[in-house]
Amino acid sequence: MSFIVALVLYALFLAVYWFFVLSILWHVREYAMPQDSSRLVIWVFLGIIVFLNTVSLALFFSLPLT
Amino acid sequence: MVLHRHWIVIVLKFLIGVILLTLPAVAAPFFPAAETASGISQVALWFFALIYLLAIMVIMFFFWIDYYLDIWIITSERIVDINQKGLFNRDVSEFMLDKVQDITIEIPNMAASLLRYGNIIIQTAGERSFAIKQVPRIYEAKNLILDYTKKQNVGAL
Repeated sequence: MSFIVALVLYALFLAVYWFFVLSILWHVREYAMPQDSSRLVIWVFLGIIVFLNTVSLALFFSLPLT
Repeated sequence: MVLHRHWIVIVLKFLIGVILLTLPAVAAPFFPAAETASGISQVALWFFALIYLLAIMVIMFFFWIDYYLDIWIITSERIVDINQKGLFNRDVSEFMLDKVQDITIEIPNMAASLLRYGNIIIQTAGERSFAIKQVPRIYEAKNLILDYTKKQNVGAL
């Protein structure tokens, strides 16, 4: 039971989180000036965020929940 | 000419972010003691630390986008001010250079003197003054605006 509750909360967190990340990416795509170094910064941020998300996902399924 | 705020503006914010990012690493040696004292497993503590890191990362990403999308564009006819306010609020204003009456350059502190950035305040024929804040290459920008303004005014005669 507690696993289901935790899963729902975690899924909600991820949904809100990715809404913000995708909103930022949409702004970059829409308003970024061409030919500048913004792409590098975006890839660094995205790389770290995806990595942390993957690790948090792995940790979530290792939590001692019933 | 396209102007962004000086890089020091975002570096200072990122520095605070990096300090906040290191906090879980500082707290990590205390996780076993916390597990013994509170009964919360170390996996759960690491999980919450990761959620915290994710939140800090998205806040830093947000600061960067706020910095990156604040732009001033100086053309031969007008100045365009694009101001990103938060994630979903964006102001775009522009005024013609023939309305420019007076330009003031302001170097507000020692850091600005050393790093060569400052504010450009433009007084226009209307009541509103216009500020380009914390930008590098201020003298170059000011001279460009004055040149373009002169050309606009000569052309109007």
